Amino acid sequence: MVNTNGAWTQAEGRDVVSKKVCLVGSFAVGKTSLVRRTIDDVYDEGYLTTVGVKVDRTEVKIGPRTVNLMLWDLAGEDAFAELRLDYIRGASGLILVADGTRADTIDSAIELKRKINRAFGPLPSVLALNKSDLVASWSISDAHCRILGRSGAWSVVRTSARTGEGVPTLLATLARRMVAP
Amino acid sequence: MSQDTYEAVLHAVLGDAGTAVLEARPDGSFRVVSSGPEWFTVLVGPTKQGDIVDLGGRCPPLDHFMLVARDHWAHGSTTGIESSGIWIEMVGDQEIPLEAYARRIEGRPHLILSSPARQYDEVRGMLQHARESLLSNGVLERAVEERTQMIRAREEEIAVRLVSAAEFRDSATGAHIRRIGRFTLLVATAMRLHEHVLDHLELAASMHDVGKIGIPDHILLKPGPLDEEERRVMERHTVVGARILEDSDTPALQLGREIALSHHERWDGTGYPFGLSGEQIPLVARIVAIVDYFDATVNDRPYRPAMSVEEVLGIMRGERERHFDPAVLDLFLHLQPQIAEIRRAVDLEVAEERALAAERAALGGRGAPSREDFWGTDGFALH
Ligand SMILES: Nc1nc2c(ncn2[C@@H]2O[C@H](COP(=O)(O)OP(=O)(O)OP(=O)(O)O)[C@@H](O)[C@H]2O)c(=O)[nH]1
Ligand SMILES: [Fe+2]
Ligand SMILES: [Fe+2]
Ligand SMILES: [Mg+2]
Repeated sequence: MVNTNGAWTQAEGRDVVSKKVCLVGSFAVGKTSLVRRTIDDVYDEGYLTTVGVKVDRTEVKIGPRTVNLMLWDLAGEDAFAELRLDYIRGASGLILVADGTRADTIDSAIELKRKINRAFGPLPSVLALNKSDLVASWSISDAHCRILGRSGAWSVVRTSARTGEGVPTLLATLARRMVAP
Repeated sequence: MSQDTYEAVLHAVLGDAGTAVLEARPDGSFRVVSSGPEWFTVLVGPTKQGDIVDLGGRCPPLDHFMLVARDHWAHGSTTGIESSGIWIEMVGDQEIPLEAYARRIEGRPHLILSSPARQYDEVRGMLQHARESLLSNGVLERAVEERTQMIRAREEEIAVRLVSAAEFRDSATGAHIRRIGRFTLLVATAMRLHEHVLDHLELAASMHDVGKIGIPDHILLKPGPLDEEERRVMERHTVVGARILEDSDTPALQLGREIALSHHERWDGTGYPFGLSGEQIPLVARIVAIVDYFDATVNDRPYRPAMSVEEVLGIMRGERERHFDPAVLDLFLHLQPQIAEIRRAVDLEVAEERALAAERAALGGRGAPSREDFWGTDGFALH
């Protein structure tokens, strides 16, 4: 049985744990696309902004353990809509998503991380620098990336919802950070 | 109103309006008051009024909301209402927006589930529109920026090539060219020159001697002092440079032309090529005259050893209002700490570039570490 509180349980002779994970970040960075790539292995060029929240489930195996992830795809932030912080309650991890072609979305991710830290304390986090298929037109320098990676606040993973690059790594990295003893 | 009548009314009013109404029971289950919409049937199974249902574990956002809802039912005001915010539920293969409200009706705890499809479409339409236009503005801005940068990079390359062609023969180092650009920018920034000038000044100043390309080797490279005729030819590097940079609509080249032409004019009117004096000389050229003199004399040249900074500044003070614009000279003297800083930085850069070039040669031309090297192949940042 899966225990929704996140405690280890035995199922099919394996350790299974459930974790709530929130995807947050500026609008149009690719949060929904990353979830769709994870769940259905599809990608859509078109942009349909998310209003509200949608929850999907997936699982990640770490050695003998299975981590059931409940992915909360939250509406992106912008001048018109603010993140509903209450959704973060009960989360075990965060996927902060930024768009490598829009440097300002990294500032948003940093700001969101601060805000969530203040409200809930530090959570295991991964920063997805998304749209790596467009790396030629990325507007962030390597120096910037290096600083982001060294901050200790999160692991940084380069992803592309379009090609799928880095998406399994993203989930595995976060799962590992969440179940680390 | 009796409970039956009130529930009949609720049922009639809300049942067809895409809303399900439930009453919360102390054990965490719910009693169905009105179960109209189809999505409710799909989510919970067929129900009728009075049935007891368990909603837990079906919709995470609803489970999440229960904490807030229970708190409201226990402590909230009778008129107040709490909302879960919209979440999306897959009903069959359709995405349906749902929202839950907690409210006390007739003193009893009620949960209202509704599908605010119309408001949802409206809000989404508005946000979609706003965000798309934010994105396309951003793309436009970035495109313009990229193009500007591309043009500047091209300009810079042309200039660097020109400058190094001249320099190659003069055996002045690339470091001199680089320092002149930075010194000039430093002084001009301290003088608060216009941004349009500052933007292009570093490059423009580095082209000051580009006209030396037109001077014959036997004069340019002559180790000893020049005779009268040779000196006249040598002085032509100003007008030659101006001619090279002439008739361009590129701001850096226009500014470069001005500097190339006038950087040997002197404040007292005894300079060349035209003997302009005082403020007849373009300000940027007055700045370059100072930093060029300074840098040429504090560094080794093949035909004479370097002088100390103190020595050189002493000589320059003596040329105040003769060779040099007094106001610019005073500022330049005042900026000595920053000047020293720039000299150190350029020395360091040159050393690093040399080391890198050597390394690259040793690696068989593999080049500087790329973004790929930095990120690693699996998408991890390597710290
Ligand atoms: N090239 C490229 N485009 C992507 C990638 N991921 C997402 N996109 C595109 O970016 C746009 C936005 O993607 P979404 O997944 O809707 O972004 P979101 O973060 O969910 O946006 P909101 O819901 O508005 O906050 C869409 O047009 C996607 O097709 C990617 O990895 N590469
Ligand atoms: Fe000169
Ligand atoms: Fe010079
Ligand atoms: Mg989305």
